[in-house]
Amino acid sequence: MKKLFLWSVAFFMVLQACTLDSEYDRLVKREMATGERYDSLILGTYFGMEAEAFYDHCWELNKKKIVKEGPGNSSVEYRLDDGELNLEGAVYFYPRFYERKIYEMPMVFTYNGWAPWNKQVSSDSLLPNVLHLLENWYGGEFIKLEHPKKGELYVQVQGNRRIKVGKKDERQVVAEFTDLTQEAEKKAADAKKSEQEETGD
Amino acid sequence: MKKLYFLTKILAAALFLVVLPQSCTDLEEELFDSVSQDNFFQTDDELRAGFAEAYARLRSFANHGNYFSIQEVPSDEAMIPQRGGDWFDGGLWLRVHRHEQNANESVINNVWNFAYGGINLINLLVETFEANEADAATVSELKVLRAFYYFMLLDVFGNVPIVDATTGFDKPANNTRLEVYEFVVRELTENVPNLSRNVGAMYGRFHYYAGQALLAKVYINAEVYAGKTEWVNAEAAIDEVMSGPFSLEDDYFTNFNADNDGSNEIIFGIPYDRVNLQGFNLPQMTLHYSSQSTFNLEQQPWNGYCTLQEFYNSYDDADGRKGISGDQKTRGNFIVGPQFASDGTTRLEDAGAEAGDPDGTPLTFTPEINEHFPNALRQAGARIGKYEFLDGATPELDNDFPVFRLADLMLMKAEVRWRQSAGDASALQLVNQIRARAGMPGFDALNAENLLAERGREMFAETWRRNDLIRFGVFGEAWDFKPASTADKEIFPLPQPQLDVNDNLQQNPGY
Repeated sequence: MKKLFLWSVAFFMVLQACTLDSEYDRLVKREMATGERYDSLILGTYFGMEAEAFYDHCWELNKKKIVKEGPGNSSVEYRLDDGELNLEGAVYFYPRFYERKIYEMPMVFTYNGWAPWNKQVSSDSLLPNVLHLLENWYGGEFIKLEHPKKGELYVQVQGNRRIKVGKKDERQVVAEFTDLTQEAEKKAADAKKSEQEETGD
Repeated sequence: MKKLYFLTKILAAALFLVVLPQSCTDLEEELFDSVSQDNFFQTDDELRAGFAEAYARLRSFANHGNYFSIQEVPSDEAMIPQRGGDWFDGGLWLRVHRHEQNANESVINNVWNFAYGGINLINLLVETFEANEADAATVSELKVLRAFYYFMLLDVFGNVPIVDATTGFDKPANNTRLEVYEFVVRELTENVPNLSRNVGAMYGRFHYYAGQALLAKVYINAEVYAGKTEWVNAEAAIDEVMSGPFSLEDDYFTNFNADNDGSNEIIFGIPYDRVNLQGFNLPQMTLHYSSQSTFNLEQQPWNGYCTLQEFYNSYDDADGRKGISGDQKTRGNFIVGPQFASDGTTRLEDAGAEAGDPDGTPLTFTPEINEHFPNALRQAGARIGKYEFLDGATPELDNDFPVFRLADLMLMKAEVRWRQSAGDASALQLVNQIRARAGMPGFDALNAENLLAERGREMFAETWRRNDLIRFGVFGEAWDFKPASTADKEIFPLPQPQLDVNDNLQQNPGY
């Protein structure tokens, strides 16, 4: 009887772990099933925006002194004041394109005054403020996922838009926006392409 | 029966071990593509990855808007003029060239973050390796790399906090520039002897000779950093480097090829790679938009960096390093004159050329630059052609960045010999050896002017010009588009965002 009880507990624990850990999968399925589209990104950019339109749009934002070039000219920098992020900081963004249209947008957040000795401006302190900011900007709620080796990250899905947030290093927090409909299409195309390369077609 | 029961328990445990982790689905697993530092550095593999990352963080060195820019643009060998609506960037690059920068310039905070980001990671690694009783060479190598990051801070900012541990530094005050200098010297003299001399196995890492080269750079600038000369110590460190397995390449440009990792002249280079170690974007930074067709570049360049006319003219036309106007097939430090498509014959057009451009729409890089701002001509200025741009290059170069190379050390040796004895024959011979490779006749004698000029010609666009100008006492002089500046502009202000969150930090004088 005792053995039966222990096995039942064990089975229940495994089952519950599966259920809890698949919360993300269920979230994706549920949101994708709604068919709703959430394409809005940042400062008027959106999923499906053509590359030329993105460059023109950023150029206009730059002329209005709303954004400027980020480090290395490899991103767009948008300053955040202490009302938005607790302390003065910035977000750097530059999209990934699929067939010349935006399908993914990583946004990197930092505090301007980062220094190794100041925990107040570390990514540990930044992370909850970024989550709060993103919830204010986009609505929705983040769920926390933990990995035994790779730490923790936060994710929310609204319709086709997934936002994944995690610490990049001791200074930076990354929020990656992905159009799940386009991601699936891109993966299928990439797989087909690599298959063709392997077979030499 | 007991054995069966034992096996059942083992199977049950295995069920937990296997099923529980796997219950994190593939979809979810894909989300975790980065590693947090919180639970990192627990295994040997993670430690090795951390060690590699300490070097990989150097890739910001040659990035636009970081260390390369802050060393080049304030000097007399590079500038970024405002070309109409392009490159104003809030006046940042105009102010930096004119030595009128302020504490809010983004480039200053970028350099600070670049250096302290490296230092912070190394502090963590040193503590972890020491706790794991790692071998002395590994810990020493990390400390020498940390000294390199501090050397950059010493050179750029001067009075920065010395932080060499992960805890115990709550809002530290500045150390003096002398204290930072002494820290760097101490770290190098204690740790460089522990480094491997196996250069072949240490590419892109600090081996013994690279460590000595860094020490030589610190000593040769001791008068600037610490108010005292260290010519003898500088020479000793240089001699150590020159005793190593390095030799001048026959062709100067071998050092700047896309595959320059085979150069016998490079003592320490920062590896770049178009895929895995990105950050060196020179074709984008310097070339004209239409130059995309010259090199079949994957992306259109940004039409920014160019050299000053006076600096360009400091090269004799016979100098093999200069390049040939209108001949893009012959490598040169500069790209000037009529520009052609990759076929070498089709003339490139600049449809957006200003009405007042005397060259009209055919793309022609002119050494003369009509003005600094606001309407420098789109085609004005000789472009940086020193590093090879492969046909079809992506914005990310494969060329490694040579931080220390033998020709530099030879010129440094000549300088310290000359500073100790102006008529030293060996000093003259070393300089003339460098000139001979460039196809130039030897000097009859050395003086401050020709030594500095030769260093300029040889070391163009390798981040040393500002350092040299300061050491030779001419950084404050006026040159194209820059008025005379005061000595306090020889270092940059501490970033204002740092002062805002640490009231123990004092701003550098003059800012």
